[in-house]
Amino acid sequence: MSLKVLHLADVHLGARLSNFGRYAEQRRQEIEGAFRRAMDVAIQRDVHLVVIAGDLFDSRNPERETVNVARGQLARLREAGIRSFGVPGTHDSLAFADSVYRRENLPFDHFFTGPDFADPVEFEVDGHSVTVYGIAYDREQTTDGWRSLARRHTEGIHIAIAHAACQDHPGWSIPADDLPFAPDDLQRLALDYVALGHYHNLRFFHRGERVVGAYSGSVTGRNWKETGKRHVVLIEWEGAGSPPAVTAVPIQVRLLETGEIDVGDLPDSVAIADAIRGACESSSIWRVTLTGDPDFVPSAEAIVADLEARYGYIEVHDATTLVTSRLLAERREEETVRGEFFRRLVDARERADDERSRAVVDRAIKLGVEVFG
Amino acid sequence: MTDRLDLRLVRLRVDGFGRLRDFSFQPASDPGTIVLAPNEAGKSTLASAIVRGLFGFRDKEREAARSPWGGGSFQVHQEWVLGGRTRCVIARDFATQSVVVEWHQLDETTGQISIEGRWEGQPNPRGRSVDRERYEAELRRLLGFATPEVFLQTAYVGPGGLAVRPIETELLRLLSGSERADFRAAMETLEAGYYRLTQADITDPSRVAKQKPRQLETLATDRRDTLRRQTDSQSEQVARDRLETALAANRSRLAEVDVEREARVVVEKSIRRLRELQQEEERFQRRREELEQAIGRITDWESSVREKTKELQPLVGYLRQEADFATQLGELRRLAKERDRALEELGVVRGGAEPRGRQLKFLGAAGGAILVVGVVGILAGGSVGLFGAVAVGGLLVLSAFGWSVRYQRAKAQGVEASQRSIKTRAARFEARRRAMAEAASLDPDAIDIDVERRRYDRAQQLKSELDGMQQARDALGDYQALERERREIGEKKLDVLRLERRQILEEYPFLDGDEEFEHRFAARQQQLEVEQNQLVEQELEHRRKLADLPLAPDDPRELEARVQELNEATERLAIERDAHRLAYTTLAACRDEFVTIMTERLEGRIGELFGELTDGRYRGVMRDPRSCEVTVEGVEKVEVPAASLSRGARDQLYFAMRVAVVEVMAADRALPLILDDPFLHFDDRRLARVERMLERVGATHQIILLTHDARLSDWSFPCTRLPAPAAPSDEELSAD
Repeated sequence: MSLKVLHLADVHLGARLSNFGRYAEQRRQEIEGAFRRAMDVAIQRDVHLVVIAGDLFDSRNPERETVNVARGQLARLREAGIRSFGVPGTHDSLAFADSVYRRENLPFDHFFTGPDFADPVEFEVDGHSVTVYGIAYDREQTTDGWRSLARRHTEGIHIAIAHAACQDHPGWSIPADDLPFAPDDLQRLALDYVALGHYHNLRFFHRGERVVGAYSGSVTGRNWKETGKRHVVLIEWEGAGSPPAVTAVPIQVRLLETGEIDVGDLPDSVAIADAIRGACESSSIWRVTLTGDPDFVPSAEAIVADLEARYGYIEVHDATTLVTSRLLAERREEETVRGEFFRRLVDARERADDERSRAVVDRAIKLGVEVFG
Repeated sequence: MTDRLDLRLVRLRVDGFGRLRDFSFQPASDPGTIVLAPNEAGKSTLASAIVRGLFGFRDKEREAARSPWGGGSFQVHQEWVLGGRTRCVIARDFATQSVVVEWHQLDETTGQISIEGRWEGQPNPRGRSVDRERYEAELRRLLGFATPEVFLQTAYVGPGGLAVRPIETELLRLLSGSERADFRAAMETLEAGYYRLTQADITDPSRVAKQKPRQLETLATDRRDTLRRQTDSQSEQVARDRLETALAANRSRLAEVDVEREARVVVEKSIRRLRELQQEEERFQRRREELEQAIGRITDWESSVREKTKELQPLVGYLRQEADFATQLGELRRLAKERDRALEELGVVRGGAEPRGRQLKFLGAAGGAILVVGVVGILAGGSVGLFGAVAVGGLLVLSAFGWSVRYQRAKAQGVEASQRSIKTRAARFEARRRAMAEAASLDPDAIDIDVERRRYDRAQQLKSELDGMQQARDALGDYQALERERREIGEKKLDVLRLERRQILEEYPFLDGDEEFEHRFAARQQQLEVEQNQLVEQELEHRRKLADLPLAPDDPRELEARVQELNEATERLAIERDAHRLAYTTLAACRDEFVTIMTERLEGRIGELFGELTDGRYRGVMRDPRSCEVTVEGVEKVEVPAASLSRGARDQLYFAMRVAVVEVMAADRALPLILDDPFLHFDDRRLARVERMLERVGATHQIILLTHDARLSDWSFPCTRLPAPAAPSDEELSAD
């Protein structure tokens, strides 16, 4: 029987999510829902162990209800006979005296609190010898960090868990508590898999064709840098030494998605709202950017108000410009104050020598259209 | 205005448009036509058909409202004449949005009309298309513009808004070009928007209201507060970091002290090794000194040998001489003396012989001279005796001379023999001397026997010394071997020892110094104990301070994100603020420049037209630039506010204004005036004046007067009548 491991990270239970406005509470519940679904996947797929690579919580001292959500889901794993392993992250750091991991006895099978990888856990499961390494960075105690990670012996399958930052660019200044590592470092480790947390988008690290580690990414998008599908990673070994079969399992409850709609041919904000309805699935949360050169000033507020009930939360960004619109071409023909006003502003835009100046003129034109028609 | 192209509608056919069906209308070109119809008969529909036939409907609902009652074709055909010779036919089918435009040219000489161009497309005004752009180009060719707004602002004059709007408002609206807001209202809106954002005066942003919320200021306050919290949080974090770093350093040092204190055995071993190293080093040092001395001696010997060899170099020939070189030199000296003596003797011999020769020659010469004197005296007749005696004397002298010569010759032969003997002897000495000198490699002519003797002796002495030195050199040993050993000691052995010593001292720097290592070690142990106690106290102090530090209330990462959000929001509002100000200042510039110019033009023309309409009762119209109030100047130069005029006079003023607008503000066409019952409140007298004015205006602008006023049927204008209505109310064009 193959060994199955489910890897997740960056759940951020209890995140405030004030960027979602009135939808924040709902979004918090969606995060909890995603965490629940991750546990469902673990149970349904009969995994042997679940590894959580840090930032299970969004802060070091989450509210009691949030802790209970985690406790309940981890208990489900235990009941299902699935071992769970975890490390603290940067948001839920163990370094503080009031850290949730110091206060609460969460039902992990093992939660790594050591300042380096020196104390792995070894066990047998379904005939597989498994060694799990983990680290809880401690400014005071951690000295060797990644250097302390070395395969103990050649037998079995060896997995490491770390909440760490990949130094993709040598110029990046990554603090020590983010446990920086170079992309090639994982290749050099003689481990079977390194479960990473900290970066919120899915990413695999390879040695040749073989996956040697991954960021599973966040389970739910918390901001517009975390758009698209969210995942947990399922890793499966036929036996020690065999290459793992790695699958990213979509886990999202509601996706954050971005879209762009050209509203140049649309007559008004109502039509824009209709167009968004037609183009954007209501199952996702959207940030829609309006582009084009319509003959009116789109009202982002009105569109959002119109669509909020459908999407729960939606952001509409007006990136349209009226400079090239037919409306402005017509207005500029008039021998009136309005015509003169728009002629002057269009001239001003042509003279504008930076983006901000152009943005100011564009908005002034829109103000003119709003007041004059 | 003289450059304007005259534009007139010559035919209108409505296949279906609202209540109008199969309606055909050919307005007269000059001065125009009156369309007389009772209310609800379709006058405004007719006007709308003209406007919408040109521009179509932007609003679908309004288009639907104008669809033919009872269904059927929804088409309007118009035929326009531009500049007298160009004819343009526009046929619009509202059902399909298709439009056909045909251009015809009239040949004035032949009177024939030829098609100049034809365009067909679907320029739906509610969408964007190439057809729409093409059609608008056609419209611009015909009208000078392509927007219905301009047409409505200029060519179309409705019943007037005077019932609800004062004349000033109408004038402002016409100048502004917007039904929604005139430029003053627009400026007020922008000013209010700016105030909402900044609570400042848009004309003078330095004037700011106090103690009132303002969007930008609220954001700035929020941002300041967040930044302060971020700073606090960072400060707390920095303080925590600093304490934790100090604590870590403290603990690290304590661990080092522990290790060092516990490493006594290792240190003692190191001390032993240091001592060994020291002894080894001293031994090597001594050996190296010996080697250096030996090498120095060899170097000195070589220097001496070089000097003596150099000195011996010119004397080396003396070394080849036999042992009796000194005897030979004595013999040489003796031979030289012998030779000199012989030569001296030869000189004596020669010195004695030479004076006698000269005496003999004198005696011979004197005897000869005496003889000659005696002979010559005799021969000259002198005394024979005397001269004979003289001659005899001369002969005697000569005889003596002869005798002496023979004697001297015999004597000379003896001297010569003696000379030869001496010469031979001297030559023999000299030859022998030269042979000896040659044997000794000496220059016999330059030789100084004493000097040579000394040099010979010196050469022998130097040789003796060199021989002695060579024996000493042999005792000094192999220079290369010595040098090799010295170098090996200097470069390798000592360096190795010193490196090891340095490594030990680096590990235990307290052992470094002049004193004994044991003393130093003991002192170090004591020092470590003191340091250990201090470190324990410091650690307790750091931990106490850490415990006292409040936990950072805010997550610095969240605060950073919040600051970022606030920065973005502030920038958005700043752009909004700047846009308000830009729009406002642009509008103010339009007001100050464009409005001033247009108002001046309009005021003059309105005044003229109003004077004409009031039969000279009013002569001028003025508009206050600040209050925008319109006043009219009466015949007695009394200024009367427009608002104080009678309704009829105000309608006249409005009409004058609209006519002035079509004259002044239309671009480059003399547009027709489509008048939709604007004279409802005119009495007969006023109507008569209007008729006169329109007859004159009609010379340049075609008049299409839509009215239900039967009084106008008496005007000089051709009149077309529409049938009475049979259906419910029509919509007003203003609704378009």
